Amino acid sequence: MNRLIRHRDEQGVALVTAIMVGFIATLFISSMMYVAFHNQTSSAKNRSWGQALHVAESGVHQAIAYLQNSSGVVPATTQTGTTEEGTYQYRVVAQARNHYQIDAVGTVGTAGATQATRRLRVTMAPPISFKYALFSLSDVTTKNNNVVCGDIWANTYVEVYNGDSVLSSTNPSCPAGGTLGSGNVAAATSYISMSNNSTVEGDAWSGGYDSSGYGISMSNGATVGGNAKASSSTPSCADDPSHAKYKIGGGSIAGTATAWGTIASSVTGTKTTNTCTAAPGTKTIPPFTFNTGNYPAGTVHQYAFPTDYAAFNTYIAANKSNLSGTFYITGGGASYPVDLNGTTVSGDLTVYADTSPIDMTSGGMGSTGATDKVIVLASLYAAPASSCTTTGGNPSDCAIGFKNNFSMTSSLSGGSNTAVLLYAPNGPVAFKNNTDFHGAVYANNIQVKNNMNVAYDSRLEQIVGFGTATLDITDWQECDPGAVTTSSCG
Amino acid sequence: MTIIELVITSALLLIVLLTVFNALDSVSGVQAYQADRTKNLDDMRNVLNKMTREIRQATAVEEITDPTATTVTSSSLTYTTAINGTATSITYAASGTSLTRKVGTAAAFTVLQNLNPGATATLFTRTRATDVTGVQWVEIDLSVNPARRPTTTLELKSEVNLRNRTASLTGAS
Repeated sequence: MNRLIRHRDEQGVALVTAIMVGFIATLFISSMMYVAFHNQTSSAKNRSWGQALHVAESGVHQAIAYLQNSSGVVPATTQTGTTEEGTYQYRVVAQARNHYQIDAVGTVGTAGATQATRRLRVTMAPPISFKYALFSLSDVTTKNNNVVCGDIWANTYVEVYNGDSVLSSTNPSCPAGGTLGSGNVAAATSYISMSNNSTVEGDAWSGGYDSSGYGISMSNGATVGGNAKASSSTPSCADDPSHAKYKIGGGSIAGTATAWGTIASSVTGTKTTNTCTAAPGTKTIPPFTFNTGNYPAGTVHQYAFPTDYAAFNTYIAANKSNLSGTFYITGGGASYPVDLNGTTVSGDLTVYADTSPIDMTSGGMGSTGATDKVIVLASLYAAPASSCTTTGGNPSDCAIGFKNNFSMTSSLSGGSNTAVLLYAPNGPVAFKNNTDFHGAVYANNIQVKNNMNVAYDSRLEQIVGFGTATLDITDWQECDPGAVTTSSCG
Repeated sequence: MTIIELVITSALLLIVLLTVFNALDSVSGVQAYQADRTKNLDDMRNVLNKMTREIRQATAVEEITDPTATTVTSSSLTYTTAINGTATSITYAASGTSLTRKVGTAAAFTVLQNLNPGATATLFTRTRATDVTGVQWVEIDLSVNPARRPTTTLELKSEVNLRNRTASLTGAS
């Protein structure tokens, strides 16, 4: 009897022990399997996450290819596609002046924990080409009481004459809302000359020197609001072992001053002499390529001078109070100037002449209407700067010449709905007497005289046809996941 | 049951119990180690994904000051990126075993711990491009030592191409 009872007790203990051990083992195995499964899911999700970006980018590039094939006509609806990794959707929205917003969503993985979706927003636009208020392949010469809001760049020298001011775009005297340009002046391979009471609100940076050895020469009352640097285009300043050149003299400098030669200016910040710094190096003007597909249908007018010279003038005469559109003019020359005197612009206007100068030396040009407007005047006419300098802008003397009453704004700080780009890579651009505009001048040479005001306008930063590509990706952002039609991009 | 049987049985039971507890302890340690490793990996992935996304769309990145250098490594990185459509300055900095994130002028806060202190100096590698001015690639090398033993090192890398840099720098005169 006792033997039987003991036998049953032993059997029960074994069972309970086995169940307990099994339960504990199951718990640990489950726990480890959960961790392993989490790791596997996490890795798969991470893989999908990375792939979803590539798939979404496939959608972006498909949209770009679509735009290239359609010459800028956007698809009417949301488009879809697949890659080996997943599926994508894209949508293109055309915006003003050849800007396109592309939204693309890439999805990878089957629905569930391992699926990943990413959304991209890309802006296609003309490449950034114009950042300076005044840009010259040679020199920039200003005379008497001019105001420039923005930066000045010259591949050779810059002369800032009596009473001239180069101001930051945020200066109260400049149009409100300006953001580009700090009032800097750069003379890449030569000197900066600042006459009496002239002002450079930003930095002054020279890469050479004048006949007296000054990199930056400042007369009485001339001021530099930022830093001044007299650099050398010669490595290690080896061309001037005695420190006789690359000097800074006169006026006052609010920031630091650095020169290979002496510094005789009044300097608020640190004054560093005998220090060789590299000159900024020269820059080139963005090239222009004409393509009718870049402009709205029905707005392009093409003329071949001299055959079409009369027809062009007839058109201008008939539309001079309400001018807009694109004018592409080939041929001609000094005897066939593009005469826009007395015209009034009412919408976006592009005038491109590959051989003729553009003349506005008598009647000026104005703008009308509340519509936001961009004017591009481009001439590839080649002329020596010297003749343009002496006459202040006459046909055959300048690639683009303005004299009297070229006014796109009643006051510089009052703002304007018209931005003007003057583009003359082969010849000089000259202004004389009371010329005011918001915009930029890019030319082989720039001559500015008497009470001219120019304020850099960021609407000119990207203009179709200028630069090495028609359209470029100018902004790339990843938005929070959402539908391709979602307007916000957080 | 004799005393001999009792001693032998007890000894065998003790051996079995020790073996079982040893196994349980080992399994428990492995499980905790795995969980800690997983948590660290998750944290690293989150931080790396966030940094990668922001740097990829950055419009300005801390430049290389040495004009002769093509590549520079550092323990911190400052860049400007779009946060909800607004350009915002972000700074990541490794200090000791912590990685901090600073948004604008706000105070920095810790986003990752247990950094491998021997690898923080090479946390960020900035590389110039040959065809445009400025930094074009940023490599992030996150190296973490999980707290649980045995001592191991987890490493995640990401090489980011700055999508907005080429566009903003090419062609502009």
